[in-house]
Amino acid sequence: MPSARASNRTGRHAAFVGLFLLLCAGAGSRAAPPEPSLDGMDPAVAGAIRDARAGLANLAAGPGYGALGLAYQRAGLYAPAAAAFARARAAQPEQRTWAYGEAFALEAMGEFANAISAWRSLLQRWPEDHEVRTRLARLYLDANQIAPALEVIVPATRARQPATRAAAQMQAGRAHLALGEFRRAREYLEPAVAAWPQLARLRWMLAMALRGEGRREDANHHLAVFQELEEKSRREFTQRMAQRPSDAQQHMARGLAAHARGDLQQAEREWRLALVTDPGLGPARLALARLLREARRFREARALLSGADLDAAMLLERGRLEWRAGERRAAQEFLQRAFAANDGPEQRLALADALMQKEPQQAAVHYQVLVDSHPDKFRLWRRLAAAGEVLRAGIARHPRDPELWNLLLRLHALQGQVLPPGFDAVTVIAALRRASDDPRYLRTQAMLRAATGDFPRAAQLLESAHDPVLAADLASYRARSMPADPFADEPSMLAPTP
Amino acid sequence: MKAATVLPALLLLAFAGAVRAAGPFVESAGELGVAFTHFNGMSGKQYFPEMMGAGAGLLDYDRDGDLDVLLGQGGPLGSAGPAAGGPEVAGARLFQNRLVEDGRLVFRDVTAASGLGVTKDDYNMGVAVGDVDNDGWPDLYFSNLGPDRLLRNQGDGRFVPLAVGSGTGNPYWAVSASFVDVDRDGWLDLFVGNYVQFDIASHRACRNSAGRPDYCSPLSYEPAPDVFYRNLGKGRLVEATREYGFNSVFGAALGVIAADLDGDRFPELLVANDGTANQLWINEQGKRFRNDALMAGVAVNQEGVAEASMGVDLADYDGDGDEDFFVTHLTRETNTLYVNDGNGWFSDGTAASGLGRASFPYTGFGVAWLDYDNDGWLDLFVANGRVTIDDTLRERGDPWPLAQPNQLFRNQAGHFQDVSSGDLTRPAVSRAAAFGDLDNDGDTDIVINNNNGPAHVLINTVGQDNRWLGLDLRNRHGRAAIGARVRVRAGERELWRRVRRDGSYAAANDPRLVIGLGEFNGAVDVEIHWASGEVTRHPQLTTGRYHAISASE
Repeated sequence: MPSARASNRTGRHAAFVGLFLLLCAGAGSRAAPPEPSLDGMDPAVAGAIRDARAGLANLAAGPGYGALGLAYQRAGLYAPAAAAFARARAAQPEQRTWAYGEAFALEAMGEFANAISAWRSLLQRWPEDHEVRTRLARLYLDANQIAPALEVIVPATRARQPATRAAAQMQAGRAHLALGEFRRAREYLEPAVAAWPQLARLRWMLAMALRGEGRREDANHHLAVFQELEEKSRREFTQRMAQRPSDAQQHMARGLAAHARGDLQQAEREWRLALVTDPGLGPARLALARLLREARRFREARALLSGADLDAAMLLERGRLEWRAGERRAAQEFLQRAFAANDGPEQRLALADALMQKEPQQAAVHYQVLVDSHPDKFRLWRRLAAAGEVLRAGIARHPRDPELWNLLLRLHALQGQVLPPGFDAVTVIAALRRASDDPRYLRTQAMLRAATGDFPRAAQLLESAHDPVLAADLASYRARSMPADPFADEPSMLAPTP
Repeated sequence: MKAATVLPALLLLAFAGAVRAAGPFVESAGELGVAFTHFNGMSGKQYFPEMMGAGAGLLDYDRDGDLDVLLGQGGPLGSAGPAAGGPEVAGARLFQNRLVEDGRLVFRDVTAASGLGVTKDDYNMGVAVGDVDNDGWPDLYFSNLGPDRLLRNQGDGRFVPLAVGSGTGNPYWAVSASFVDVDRDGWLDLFVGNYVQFDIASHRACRNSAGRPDYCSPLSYEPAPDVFYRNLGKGRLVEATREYGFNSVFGAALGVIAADLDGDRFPELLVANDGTANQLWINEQGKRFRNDALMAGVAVNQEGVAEASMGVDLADYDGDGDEDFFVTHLTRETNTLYVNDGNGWFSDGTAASGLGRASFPYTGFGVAWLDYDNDGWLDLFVANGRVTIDDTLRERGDPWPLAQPNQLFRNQAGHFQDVSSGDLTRPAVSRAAAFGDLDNDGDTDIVINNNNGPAHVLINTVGQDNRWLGLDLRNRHGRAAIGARVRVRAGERELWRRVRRDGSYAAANDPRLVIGLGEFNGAVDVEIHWASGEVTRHPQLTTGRYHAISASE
């Protein structure tokens, strides 16, 4: 009997290994994105693609292929974009951006069935995402599948966010128009028009609904507004096309051209002339200050960026200037002010860079926010990795600090890695448990559990947090929870090596 | 014995396979003698007009009873352009159909003898056909980049120039035009849809999203105003754009078609604009026109978006007695079907008809409602070809990377199925598509002028499987009875068709009617509603042949 049991175990083990290898092979056989030629492309666009391709060597598959997908998509190369996003999504299924990218690319390629399937998968995973609902409903409507369109869109018409709600109402209105249900269409379209009175398309659709109801006068009113809005937009477009740039703008443009071809002296001359012609021309002031900073003419640059009228961009440039000049404290002060004036990604990144040496934890927090919102910028990932190095050094000094652990693990989870090299799950989870009442740590623990394939435990952890913010993660873990592993007594092949 | 029976069976199978491979239309240009290659003069500068032309027309110029083929030609553009012609002689080409004379469908190039040499320096965009002087001989209008050209058919096989307007002709870049008697005075007037205000000096260098040089969008240029010429009699055309109200609004026009949509017997005009709202010009008793596209629901699509409209056609596709409007569009827009509710209001029926998704990847130009299989339901043919460069094709070394396959949609009681197959799907940069029965066998064939490539002549191989009725309607002057509507009663079915030459894109069509009857094998009753208002009845017409019928008024 023991030998039979051993044989049975060996057989099961072999089957498990076989399944694992099959899964690995499946992952590996996912088509590599084709590499279109970059000949003749705009240098900036080609450069972005080249950078993203180079980034594949330094980054994990998720962010690497995701960044590549975004670079292709911006260049209008949808087929390679879809392939790259598919790989990114497979490597990092929790990162919504890649799934979005893939669905958009498929849609742009005209692959409706695949696009519908991609949006459906997104919706299954993130049922609260109303933008996905709207996109999917729109595709269904294009395919004349009115019933599924309505089924998908109706929950989004009650979204809290007004713009999201209006977008959904527009699609719901469209669906009822297609069914000839004019009153129902109007009921959706009227609040949408109230939310977006300047959107000509909505006026048009509402007019069609009113026309269908026989309310010709009301329809005429909206048609008149539609026409007005269309004419206004046409007029503005024509004016923009016909507008002659001012002298200052012409100097500015000539300066940019000179700068692009490396003629810095000419660029400086042009930008100074621009400022003589129009001293309030912000872009010229900024461009000249940047040029002076690059030439290490700090005093002149400071003179341009002093005074009380500095906006966020100028404060940012002044911070960078001080940093370059070695005035770290002043730099930090200006960068803090820039961030306070505008907490946009550029300001946040500069501030994080400035904080990196003295306050790496704060820097890491900023990097994580940035990576969360801009996962396609692989330069951010590099910085995040550098922050990880600093955090690891911090952990070596303070091994019981859960905040440091949390930051480090979130950072690695963002990179699609379970654990940083050299750490084992037991130590890490133990460290985090010490602060288990903090939902942030619970989330990290759950991510860690999920990354090792223990979805039931991941779900359990989040359930104990009772935090609505974590609802999406919780739903996802629940969905992926598997029945009890029949081979639980066997060592898991996926367990991290201590 | 066994081999003797098997071999023919195998041959039959192989033949059937070959027929299936060719699809419902067989490309036969070379075999039939229509040796024509369009030359667009491209020089690498991506001049906007070079990918938009050129025209195609079907007309019986010699009135021998069969359709001849007219194809417009491009030419060099700007000083950087290559020398004109390439392997082709410059200017439009006329191919005479020898079907009646020789008993078989074959064409002979009669350009040299026809006087079309005057077009050798023109850069053609479209053609229109109409008998402007009521002598019974169809005359020609060439829409050009630069001054257009009106040529009068002398009836001896030669065309001679005829002055238009002040004599200088329409100076704008024109594409589609329509000969239509707007005031019902018996003389064909002329509406010319002008595109954008382009000349080599105003050329803009545009790029695609990857930053590679590409063709501009029409929004990069100002639209050109459309032009209307009133026929004062005997072909004396004078410009009357302002008097008729056509100057009040215009867009970048590419498709034009005329039909009486409100039943007052004065024809309306539908103008399809590229990237701006379409116009539906309502004819106010032949005195003036007003644009009612917005109220009628054809200005923009269901979502209120002005699409890149190119080719157009109007016909009763759903058998409810009124005419529905179909317009082709750009890649990533769908072609749009505007369904007429019978009261002059149209609604966007694209998705419901199944025509939306199939057109999403393609840019449609020439188009027609045609009953290719003669089952009594009007199907759709769309000639496709990109207007921006396909980077994948460019990387493969394709020197003209705009090619796309054409499409055929079968009408199944109001719902369409994509039945594109065989020769009609050969990728090309298709523009003008003209429709007519080249071999007089009772089905519709297609001639396509492909930009910078050889023209295609698609011969219909399936229409004869069903019954049909042909009508060649003429007014009292002997010219095609443009605008006449026909009601055909075949058993339980009632079909409405209209005589027209215009529509499609940059093309002139066969004015004869081929009416598919499906399996109905009895005689049919025909009621003709002539443009003059007269109604004539023609009971028990035999099927399977053309009937020549003339109006008495």
